[in-house]
Amino acid sequence: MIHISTCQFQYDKKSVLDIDSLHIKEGEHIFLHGKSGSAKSTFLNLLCGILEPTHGDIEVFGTKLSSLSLSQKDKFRADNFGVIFQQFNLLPYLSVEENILLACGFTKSKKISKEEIKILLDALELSVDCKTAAMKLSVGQQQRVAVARALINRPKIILADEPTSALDSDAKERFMKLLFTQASACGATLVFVSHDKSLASHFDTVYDFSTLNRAFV
Amino acid sequence: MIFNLTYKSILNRKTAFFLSVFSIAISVVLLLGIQRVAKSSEKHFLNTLNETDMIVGASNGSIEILLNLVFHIGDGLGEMQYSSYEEIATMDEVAWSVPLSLGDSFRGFEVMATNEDFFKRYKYASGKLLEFQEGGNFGGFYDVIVGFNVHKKLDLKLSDKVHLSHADEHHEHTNREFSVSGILKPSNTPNDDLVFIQLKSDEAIHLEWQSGHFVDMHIESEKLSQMDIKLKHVSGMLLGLKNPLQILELENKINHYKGENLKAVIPAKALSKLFKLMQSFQNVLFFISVAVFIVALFTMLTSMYATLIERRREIAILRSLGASAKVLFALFAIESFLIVACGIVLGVFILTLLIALIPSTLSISHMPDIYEIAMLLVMVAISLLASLIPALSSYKQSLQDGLIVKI
Repeated sequence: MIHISTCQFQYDKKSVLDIDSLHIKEGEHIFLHGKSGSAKSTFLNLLCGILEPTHGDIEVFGTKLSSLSLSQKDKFRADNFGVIFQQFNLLPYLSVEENILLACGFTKSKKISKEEIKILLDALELSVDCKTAAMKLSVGQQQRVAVARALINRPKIILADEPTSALDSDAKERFMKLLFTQASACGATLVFVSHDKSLASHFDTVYDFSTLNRAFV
Repeated sequence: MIFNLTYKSILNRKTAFFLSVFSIAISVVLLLGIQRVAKSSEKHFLNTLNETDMIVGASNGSIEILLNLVFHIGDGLGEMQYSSYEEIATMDEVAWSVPLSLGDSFRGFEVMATNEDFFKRYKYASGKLLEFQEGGNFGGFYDVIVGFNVHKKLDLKLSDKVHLSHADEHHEHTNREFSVSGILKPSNTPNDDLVFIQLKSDEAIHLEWQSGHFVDMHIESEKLSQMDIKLKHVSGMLLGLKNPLQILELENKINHYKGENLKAVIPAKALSKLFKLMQSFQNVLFFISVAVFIVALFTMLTSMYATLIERRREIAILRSLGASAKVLFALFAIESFLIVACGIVLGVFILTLLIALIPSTLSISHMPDIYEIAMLLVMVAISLLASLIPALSSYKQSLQDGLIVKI
């Protein structure tokens, strides 16, 4: 469960983000819709503990983020979050497998076997050699490797920041389907941020970020 | 994992990495090279003369006397009367003495006139005598002994005939033929480049020189060698004491010698004076090489900075996966450590190669000593500290970027 109440963030003494309250239930798939510049990215940074709110607090699965030290926050993020970016999710000079294993480098969780990676890649309909350098993959393939990495630690929460914006409409549909199936299989909570309203139909809960964020009213 | 990550990341930026490594390597070559040359030249100088308690010459500068008589560098000293030499040689304190006379040259090599005692008394390094490779000490009147380099460069063999010239190359005494009676083993001292003749033969060939002109007195060589020639001048002398405690006493005595203006030089004292002069020159070289290292360090930082923008996404990915500030610092520290470590290894390798390839009379050591290792460790430490700068700006940037890099 994620609880946010009266959370504010200021940058250069200007209020960028001001959320009265937001509750996300465990396993829920929520869609945050908002124009660019509506501080969606700031919100994601706050949620995974990279930025700290100026006022208010964020509680993630019973842990108040403000109660953690900087390095504890990093640890917490490694253990509980899987993040998928818009593009450039992978280190181009590492192989598919190495990119996925990066997720395990900063957690205490058990060692991931090569079979597990293979199973996950199969489930994501990726039939590439694990040793292929990431830079040789298509954008669609790269995004699916990113999903595999976000899921490999079985995180409680998956943050996705416009992961489909670089994909064409066919690939987009396929990507959404796979993401949903895998997120559900892990029982992960999905926080999906996009400006693309057409994606909203896939989700249980939809928020308009420009109404949620009072700083922009 | 962090190490593997750094390694792969560097592989991805090979060229910049190798350029940085190379610039560090060059600074290592300079820094260590200058130290080594300085140290071995110091050793070389110290090794040149041993167990000689005093040098005497007709000059006021002790370094001038040392340079002229021992290293054969300089414009020559004033003349010392042979009678003064004899008087000093027979002083109570003096155990042994060798007269030296310089000023002539033979095909580019300095000629030193002395007597057979030189090869019995002159000692170098840890008390070694000059050894003969072939032949032996002076015997006949027209004998000449050549140093190893003279033998090598002029291809002189035992019994070869040579014509010695006075002062300049254009006037050779074609009628006075000398013969090589001894070839010295290499000693790594200035003696390798000397041609030795006897004082009396030197004096004899100068008989026919009057106010700078050759005057043929039609004396047959055979006859000349039997003439009773009075020795007039020498350039200076080496001497040993009976009792080392009397050194200051004798020094004082010679410095106040009433016959002419002479100066007694204690080699150890003059050498240390010479070092002080060389030291300041070496210091300048040292500072230059330190400056080169700093430039190399900046090259490394510049190339690290240049990749920062490129690496912002990389950093954002790592941060999203839970990499802490420590990890980022480690990435930069490992990278700069690798650059400097590879630079040092390459630099030491190049230096060793250079020392092996470039011929030199100085026996430059091939192995780094403790002082050099300490210096290299300081270089590593400084570069690790320097790597904090890009690491810090990368971390700051990553805080600003958060997960989403907008470039």
